Amino acid sequence: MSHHTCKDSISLMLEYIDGELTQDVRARLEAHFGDCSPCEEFLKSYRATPTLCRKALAKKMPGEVATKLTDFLRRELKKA
Amino acid sequence: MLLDGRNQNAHGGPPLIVDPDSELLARAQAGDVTAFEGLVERHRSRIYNLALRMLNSEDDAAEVLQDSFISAYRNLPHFRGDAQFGSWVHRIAANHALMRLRHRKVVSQVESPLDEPTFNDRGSLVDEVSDFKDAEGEAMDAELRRAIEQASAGLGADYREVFVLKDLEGLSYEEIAEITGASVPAIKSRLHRARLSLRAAIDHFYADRA
Ligand SMILES: [Zn+2]
Repeated sequence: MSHHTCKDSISLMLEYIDGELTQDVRARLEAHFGDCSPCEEFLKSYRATPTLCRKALAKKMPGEVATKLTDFLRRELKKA
Repeated sequence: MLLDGRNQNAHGGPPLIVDPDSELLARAQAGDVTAFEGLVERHRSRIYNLALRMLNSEDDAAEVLQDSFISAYRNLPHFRGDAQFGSWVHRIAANHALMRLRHRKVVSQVESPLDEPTFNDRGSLVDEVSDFKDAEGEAMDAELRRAIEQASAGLGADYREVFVLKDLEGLSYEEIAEITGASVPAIKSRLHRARLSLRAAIDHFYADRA
């Protein structure tokens, strides 16, 4: 069976994490991760990325936005 | 899976969705404006976050917020209760944010090129990969936050929309396909490239700090 390169491995990471690879492909990929520490590290960082982004991009809604929304809806709902 | 189990009755019949909003919703559908305001209060923060992440502009996010709840109010009579109110209004907001994002794409948008890993002739990784040490830690470094904000803002609209809807908002590929009109394989490919680019931005942050 042919070996995966780093390039192959990285291109399969999304489906690997989603659990959508066939057993055969998954086994080959895991063999590559076992032999290749840069890819293993890459996988870790790839997995951590969405969590970090979620944290970084969470914002508190400013109080004035909430007030404006309430005022807007009261005006509009009266019309309806 | 957990959700399925909780929503499935013992005979495997149709899911029994317990919506924490059902009481307010019933009153709002009967014309009680105060009850509708109660629903707005519960969901506005999540909707604001979705719009802000998608559009990167506080003014646009505030407008999407207004448009979404007005749409929800006007469509209340058609809401059948086969979904939770929260996910229904979330979908409405995703549609509004997307329309605005696409309109703006035509007007003007500064996009950074996607950052992809580099390989040698044999397909081996040549970049050093930083250790995302405190990735799971509680507090987030202010500079890392800024680096991520910038990288997310620099993603092209096609990439940002799938990344926001999947990785930040937790929609399924099928839901995203329905909202964006793109195919599931196209969505996966964009998501992968968006993740690579954001991963690279975080990686640079750690590398610079090391
Ligand atoms: Zn490798």
